[in-house]
Amino acid sequence: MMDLGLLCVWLAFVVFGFIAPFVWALGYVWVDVLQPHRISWSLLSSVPLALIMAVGALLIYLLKDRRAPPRITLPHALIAILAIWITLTTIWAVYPDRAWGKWDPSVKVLLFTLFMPFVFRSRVQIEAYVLILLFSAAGHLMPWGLKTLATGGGYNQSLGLLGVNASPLAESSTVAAVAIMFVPLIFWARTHSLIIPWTRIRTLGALGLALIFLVASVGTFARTGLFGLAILGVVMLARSKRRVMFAVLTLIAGAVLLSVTSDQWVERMETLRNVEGEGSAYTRVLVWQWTLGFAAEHPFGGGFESYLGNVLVMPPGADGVSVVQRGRAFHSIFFAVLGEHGYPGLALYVTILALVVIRMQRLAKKIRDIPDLAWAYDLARASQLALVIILACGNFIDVSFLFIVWNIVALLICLNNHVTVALKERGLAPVAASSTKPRAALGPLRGTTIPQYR
Amino acid sequence: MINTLSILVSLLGCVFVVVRAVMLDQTLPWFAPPPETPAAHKLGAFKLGAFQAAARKVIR
Repeated sequence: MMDLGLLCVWLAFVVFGFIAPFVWALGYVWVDVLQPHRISWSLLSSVPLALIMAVGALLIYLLKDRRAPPRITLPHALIAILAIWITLTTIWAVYPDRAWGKWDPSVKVLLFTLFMPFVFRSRVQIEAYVLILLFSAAGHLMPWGLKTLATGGGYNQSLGLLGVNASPLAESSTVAAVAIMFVPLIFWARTHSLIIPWTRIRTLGALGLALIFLVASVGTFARTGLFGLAILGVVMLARSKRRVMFAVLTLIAGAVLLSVTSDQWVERMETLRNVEGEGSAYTRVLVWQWTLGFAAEHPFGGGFESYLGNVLVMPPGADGVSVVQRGRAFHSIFFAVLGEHGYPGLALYVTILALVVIRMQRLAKKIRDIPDLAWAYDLARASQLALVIILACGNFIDVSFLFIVWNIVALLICLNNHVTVALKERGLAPVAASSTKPRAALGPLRGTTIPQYR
Repeated sequence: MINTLSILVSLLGCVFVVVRAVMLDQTLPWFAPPPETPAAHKLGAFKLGAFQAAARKVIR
């Protein structure tokens, strides 16, 4: 029955894709985040859904939807260079077989990030992109939240749709970070959604989904989640217009979250105070030390999965015996990129992310007082916060080429392009006009000809 | 049970978003409001292919 449902939804993407070309790209996002081929028992498990949706999205864009493409910007160029660079580092990888295996999804993520801004140009398209991301991720994250409410959660337990570590959205630390990352976007959708027109349903749905995502994060027992929650709380408090009320609500939400967990959760969080006494945390420190040495020997990177060469000697335990660990993962976005793609790769990676955030920040300042672009202003701030949360959590998990992270980057680029065009039409100079100026006003682009949908 | 419920919410949400986005994006002619300005009228006429014009006729 579930297989039939997944098949029907996939067919809906295909059929509507022939009517509206951007739906193919939405379908690709749906396939990559929800991964229906992995959830499915039989019907879809052997169908190359991502390939079909990617080829379909590209073809139908080229055939039907090439009007008013955005001008190539600096982030675009840098993402293309990064895609070339990770290909080069894979050529000279220390473990080539493993490296090519990880290169495949990583380069696809970068290429699709390049492609998204060509497809999602109007307000409705950008909002649909955000909502499809949310609903697709909800398929994986809701089970974590609901099962935590029912059982209290637990560390390294299989609470999601897939088995433990079977996919990024089945790994507890990544689930914790991604669940928190989506909360600002949920609140944005609650305030500004055109696609979900009923205010009361939207508010109830958004609050429910945000609560479930927060509970999911806590239920993973991942310390990364606590870090993300702290950032989310502090930034939302700073941005809130009613800070006292927000602080009170946060305390109540904290009490509710603690009540659904157990003493084990508190014990697990307290291990943050004693890094050397906790194996998992101390292993990360040792891996990062090893990575610095590895990068000194391989300044141009050792290719994907180069961590397989590390040998870590843990300090002696109570029995006086040291344990040797081999091939421990990087557990950090930045150390992973440094070890795998060297200093040039890290410089490119950090520059792209910083550039996207800074450009959007500058543009957001410009549109702050334009009422009909309030949605774009709030989406820029929500996406920025989402990116900051996942990158901050990424200090402890390797999500360097996770599709969801790069979706936020693509979203910010799409938004930047849309706002630049909108400002140009109002006679206001866009930010960094030399690099973001559109080739033509959007004109006949669907969804942009009627002012109320801007 | 929880997994099925979550997938159901996810799938229904996605289908709803796609249908509404296509409607609001004015891709389906029978959902599109009439053009508001002469310029928009021109663009509307530009968008109406043979299929869309026929569909409008049927709806009327």
